Amino acid sequence: MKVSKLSLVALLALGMTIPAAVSLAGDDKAKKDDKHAQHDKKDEKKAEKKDEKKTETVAVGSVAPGFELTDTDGKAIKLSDFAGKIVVLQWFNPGCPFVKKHYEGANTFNELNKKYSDKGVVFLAINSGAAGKEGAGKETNAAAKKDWKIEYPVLLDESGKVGKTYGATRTPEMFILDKEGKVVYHGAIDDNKEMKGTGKTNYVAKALDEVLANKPVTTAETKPYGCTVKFGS
Amino acid sequence: MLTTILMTAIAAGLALQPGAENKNRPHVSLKLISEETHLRPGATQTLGLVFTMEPHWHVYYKGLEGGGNPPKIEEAKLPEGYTLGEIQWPAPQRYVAPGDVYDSVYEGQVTLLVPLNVPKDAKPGEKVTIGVKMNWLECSEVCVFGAGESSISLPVSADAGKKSDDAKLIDASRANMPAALPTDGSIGVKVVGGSMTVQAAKATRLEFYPGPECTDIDDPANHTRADGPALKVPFAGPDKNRARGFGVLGVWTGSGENPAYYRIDTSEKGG
Repeated sequence: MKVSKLSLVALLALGMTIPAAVSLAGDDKAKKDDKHAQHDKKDEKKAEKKDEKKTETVAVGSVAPGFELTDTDGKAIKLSDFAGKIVVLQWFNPGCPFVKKHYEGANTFNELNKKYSDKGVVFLAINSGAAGKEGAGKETNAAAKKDWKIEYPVLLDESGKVGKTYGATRTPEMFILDKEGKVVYHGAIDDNKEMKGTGKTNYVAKALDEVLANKPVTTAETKPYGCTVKFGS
Repeated sequence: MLTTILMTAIAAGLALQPGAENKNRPHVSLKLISEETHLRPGATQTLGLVFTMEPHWHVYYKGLEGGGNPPKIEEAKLPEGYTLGEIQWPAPQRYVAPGDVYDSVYEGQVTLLVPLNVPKDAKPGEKVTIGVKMNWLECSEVCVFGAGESSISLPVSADAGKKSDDAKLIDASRANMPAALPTDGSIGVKVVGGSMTVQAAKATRLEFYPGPECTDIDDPANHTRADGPALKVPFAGPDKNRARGFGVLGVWTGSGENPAYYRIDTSEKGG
């Protein structure tokens, strides 16, 4: 769907938000891409530094490193595709019982997606498991996406590069990026690290409510719980 | 809903499905043992929770939050008047998964100790059954929710305590329980400038296993071990300048295989 610049201006003038599917035309898009190219460059430098210290996490308040990964349909997806949107990243492994507990025992992630995607929030699952490891591979993840009725992309990071750049170590492990691409929450999905049930407080929902209300996130960092990310090396 | 969750957990942890590659079958077993052959009225005695793991499988130490679920007593089946104390955790071992993800674990076999308080009015001649229902996370390259139950029946007697055949497992576990740091100053531990430094003049190897109260460590996979007499553990995160070093220190001396283990808590006086 394309919208002329004029109607965009009209929409903005009316104080309406641009629907998620609208692609920005002409100059605006070029400008946006430029901005992200700069970010990506910066992030590359950061990533190089990271190699020395593999498990240091991306700090809350810092700009989230850009990435490009393919999803289970083979489609390339870049973080910069969602510039200007709130993005929720979920480290994923369909073989991990802690991930299963939120897709089978409960429907935590799908319910979050259902509730917040209408408000313009983008959900992305990332599997940083290396080829041959538990829960890795296109077919396994495509099957999980289908079986668990996941409506958001499941991205494959078999090299583990994105996982290591972010410092993700557990599944599930969550990052929320605000509209400027800054990390505003990093940690667990909720406050129940037990092997049964879900928590009283869903940290992601709480943080999203605050971000959407333009309020600072009160709990910006928690300890993620779950399985280790099945990196290859 | 609860039933579904329970069934999922049971299916994940316990189901014995046919098939050559069943990742869901249990790889860790639990056995409850007693140090003594009988229960003495009014005494506090020691029970052992013996976890036996298949090769390459591990269970988790009660370490840093988020680092795997350690064994937990879900339900203790005790006659009236009997109570269990807190689990005592022997020193764990380090486990670094690919990607430098650090955890403190137990491999092979471990015996966790738990005190049993026998009521004063326990009647000699009675036979008493003590049971525990536990759950834990067990992992190799993959993780599975583990669960198990075990019980032991013991007679009550006013006779003097007598060691059981299983007591050797409890003794072995005690040998790996961390002790207080020596008071002779041979091991120095302090927190300075966001790091914990350990000095142990005679050590050929030092390892630190962070406990639940420890401040976050920066890159623990690479900063909790030293092949020599000095170890520097840098803290991370917003609390690093009021950091608390908390956990267990393993000290190897000479060419010895058996390290000495010490409790570390830098918030303690003189720590």
